[in-house]
Amino acid sequence: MTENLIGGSFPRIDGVEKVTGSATYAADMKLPGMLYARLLTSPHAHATIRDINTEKAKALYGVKAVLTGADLPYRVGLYMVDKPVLADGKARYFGEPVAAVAAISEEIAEEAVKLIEVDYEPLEPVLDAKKALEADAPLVHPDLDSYECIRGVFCPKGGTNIANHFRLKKGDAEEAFTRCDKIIENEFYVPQVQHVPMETHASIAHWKPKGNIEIWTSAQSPFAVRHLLSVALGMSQSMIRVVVPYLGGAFGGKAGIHLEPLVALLSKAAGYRPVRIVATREQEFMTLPCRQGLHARVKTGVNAEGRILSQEIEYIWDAGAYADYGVNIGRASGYSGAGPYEIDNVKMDSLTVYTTKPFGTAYRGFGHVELFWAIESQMDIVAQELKMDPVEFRMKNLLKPGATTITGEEITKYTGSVRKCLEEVAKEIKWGETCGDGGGETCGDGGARGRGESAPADAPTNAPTNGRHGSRSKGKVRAKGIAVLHKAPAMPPNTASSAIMKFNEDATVDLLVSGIDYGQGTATSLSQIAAHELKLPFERIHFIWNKDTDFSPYDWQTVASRFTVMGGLSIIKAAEDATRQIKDVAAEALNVKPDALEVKDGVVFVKEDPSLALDYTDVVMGYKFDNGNSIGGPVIGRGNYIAEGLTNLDPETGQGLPALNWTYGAHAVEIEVDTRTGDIEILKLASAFDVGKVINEGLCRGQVIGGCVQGVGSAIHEQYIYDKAGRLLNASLTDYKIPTVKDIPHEITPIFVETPHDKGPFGARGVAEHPMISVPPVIANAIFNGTGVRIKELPLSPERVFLALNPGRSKT
Amino acid sequence: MLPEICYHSVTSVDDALALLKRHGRDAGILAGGTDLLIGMQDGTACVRHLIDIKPIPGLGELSVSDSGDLAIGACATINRLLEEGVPPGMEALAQAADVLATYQIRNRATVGGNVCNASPACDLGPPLLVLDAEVRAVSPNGERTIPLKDFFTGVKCTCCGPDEIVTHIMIPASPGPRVSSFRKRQRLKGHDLAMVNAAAAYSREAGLKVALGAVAETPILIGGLDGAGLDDRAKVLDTVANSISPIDDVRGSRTYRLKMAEFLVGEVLDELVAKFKEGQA
Repeated sequence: MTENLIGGSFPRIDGVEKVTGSATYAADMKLPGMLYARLLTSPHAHATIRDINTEKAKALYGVKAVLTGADLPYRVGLYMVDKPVLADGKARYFGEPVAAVAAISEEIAEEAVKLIEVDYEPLEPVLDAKKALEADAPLVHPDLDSYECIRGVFCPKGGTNIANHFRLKKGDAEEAFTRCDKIIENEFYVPQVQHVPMETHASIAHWKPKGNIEIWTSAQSPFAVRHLLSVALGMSQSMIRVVVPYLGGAFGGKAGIHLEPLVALLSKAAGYRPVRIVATREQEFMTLPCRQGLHARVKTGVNAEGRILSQEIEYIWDAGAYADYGVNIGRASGYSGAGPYEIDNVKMDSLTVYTTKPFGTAYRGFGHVELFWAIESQMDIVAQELKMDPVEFRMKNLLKPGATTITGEEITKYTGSVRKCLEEVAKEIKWGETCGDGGGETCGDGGARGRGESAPADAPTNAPTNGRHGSRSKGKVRAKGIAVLHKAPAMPPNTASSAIMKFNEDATVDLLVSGIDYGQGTATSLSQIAAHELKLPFERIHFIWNKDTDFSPYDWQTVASRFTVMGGLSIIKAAEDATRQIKDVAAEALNVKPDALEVKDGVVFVKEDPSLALDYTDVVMGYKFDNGNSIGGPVIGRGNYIAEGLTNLDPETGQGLPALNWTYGAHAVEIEVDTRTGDIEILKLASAFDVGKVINEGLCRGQVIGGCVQGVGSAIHEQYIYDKAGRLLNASLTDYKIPTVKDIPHEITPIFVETPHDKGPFGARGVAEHPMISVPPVIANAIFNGTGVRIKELPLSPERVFLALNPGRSKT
Repeated sequence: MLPEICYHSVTSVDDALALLKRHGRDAGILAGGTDLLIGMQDGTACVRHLIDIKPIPGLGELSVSDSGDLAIGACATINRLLEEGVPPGMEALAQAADVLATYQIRNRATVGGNVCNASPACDLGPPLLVLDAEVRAVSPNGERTIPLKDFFTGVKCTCCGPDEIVTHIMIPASPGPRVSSFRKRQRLKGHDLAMVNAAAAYSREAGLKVALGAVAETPILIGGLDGAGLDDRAKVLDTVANSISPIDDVRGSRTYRLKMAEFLVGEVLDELVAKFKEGQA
């Protein structure tokens, strides 16, 4: 039963709890005497708060605490400490919390919120990140220079709206452009979007009279919450306990720290009563963070053979009002921002820019969904300019062993193969063959026409049959597209994990780690690794679900597709430690040397005489000789792992080693565009990832399918829409649409390439974020191949596609 | 969050009218509540007294008279309408019901509620308009019947008086064989409010009728089609284009709505032609 633990499809261990509704989430929990918090949020995108009158709210029966920014002189933040707990003197976005109430019921708290009077003086909003860079743009953070951040890693520019300027220089891009046969430059745009987790943010805090704080919260990273709170409040970490129960989806939106400081301070202000806050769905959109927007400009120089000689890239990230997490998105997207291509000359500027909109944070892909919209659209445009097949063009330029990345990292045979991924998806989509039964008639080669021209209805039919052309019937065009991707975990170079395995009397094992499984399936795959390493049946591993900083071992954060790798490596070491303890005790009991012993299926035995054996139940709590003398004691394995060999990047050139590992991938798609409406039907999406080693095939497939569907959301449906004053107009699921079951691809084919990574557990790499990356450009590339129309702005909504296909025929 | 309310469950129209009179502007009529409760939650509907008319006998039912008139009780749910089916020639109504919100919402949402909420984008508006539907309303002054095209008076406004309750939606039998069709454009293929919707009906006796939603302040029956037949497509499209005035909003631009209105009208006409050829009318 300990065979085939790695690579099989164990069902997720949290399935029964979730399906039966018995899993407990933070929002389900109640503590004795608990109060309920509600927020007053800003109706302005940018306004000075002249005065707040809370007298009427405080006088309302049942109200126990009312707080405003003036009461809370704290700033919080992961990388850039720029976030007040409540708006501090000015509101920087529509939806920003300005005041908070704790009361004996939600109804009373809501009533009290309505009684708070705020005198605002509206300021000019800053709604466009490019305009925010202009010299006369209003400053979102006039005190930027005084904020704390790691200088040298991040480069804020006081007196501007630039929260971080990441620079990268490899070779001499300017010189190399002079040697190019073609130079192609384009601009692309990605709007802000929401994570839309099923569970909105929820936190309960209890500030105790003794001065310690207990928190139950919907967070991805209990230790990050504890650390950031201790820094913000100037308290010892030992005084703060953070518990994370079941978590109902997060996607990056619950990384770092969010409502925890506010409820803790409300609890203190309310006379040490516990306080709970649960964000409404509307607040999830407008008050809690979203994904940053991106303006990208990419200039690519190629020679006639199709080699990319030079690339100049400018990323302007629309961070929104705060960039506490966002600055690192600008950095991480900078060092991987040219895609998985070998380019000798690169100049990159990645600017994280404040605007007066809801602020961005981590979101599945950490900037890569956005930057690959630009890169993989651009690569197809360049191939088209060269009249070269997009697969062939990429194959000429993709990284391979011996090449160096744009930060100077050498690619080895262990790095993984993006080429193999591209080959696999091209084969799966039958690249090079005409599309399926969409009428059979071959549509023109969109790629053969110049940009901006479009004539879908009467496209030429003399193009070579290379498989990316559409076929059409009844105004419907079928076409294929491809795109590639990569991403490495974005994290500080000293990021660490740890694991503890406690044996129980019956030789089952409590497995403690502090990565959170909010749907990825990590708990199941880590349990498989633990069982495999302890040579125990899977059923004997008891994965401890609740994470509690008082009891659980340290982990930095559950982000960046890093937990199967880093948690897995910690577990392997913990299992070694526990097995060593078991063998030491058994050796003494059996009077042999420890290395004469072997373990299997919960039995420790002498290799050369397996009849000399002890069951784990006789060992793991200590061994008792017949006369009662005992040795050993409870077995507790411990293991840790810290990222090794990573470096900070040179602030001027961006050179260094930022990546623990790279996961490569590729998508290929066949779509049908209805030229009469702009509707896109995704007939098939084939997606390959070099995961190194599949730990749990079913869960890997789940990650790919889920990521692809979320990618379809970013590609076709999702965007924040504002009015001219910066008010978010679609802060609800009525008008913010995510894909339903009717909108997802008819077929998603996950493909796993297994080039083992030399440092991953069993050779594995992460694959949590990657499936979402490059879904938007693979669809846009297919639209172009079918219709000859190139769209450079997301989402590819029916309306946008229709108007792009029919530019002249619109009338207003 | 819902404000504090007083909930009244009534079993007769008279009781409902009495409560309506007593509480005046504070009263709200509750059928399915799928629009009203949301309005109360977000503060756009100020209701202190909810009068639940679902228990009134007969209001949840559909009936067809001997002459073929369909009477839909105001509290008949959308799913009830779909399960019981509509008489021949009224298929547009079933097509619209089938894409109204989600199955779960359709278990609660009612035909009367969809009509009385009077959203410009309501899905039942266009099919009921082309099927010559009438609204039966009762007040202390007695009962009256209002043609649906006169019932809608503005965005979320009807000609229903503050003391009046809608009890039935009536669809008179067609004087001759009729075909009808409905289509809807929305932002995605899953459930959504209409960006534009359109219905058409045709019989030799009554001619062609076309109605659209989400292109004006109310669902509108296109006038000036007198005498137009199924083959007068250009005239129909032209008349439609001159009759509608969609707005730009988060669900779609005016430009795109105009194009989609044209597309949908083409689609419903295509279906009418196909059904007509099949001999359904």
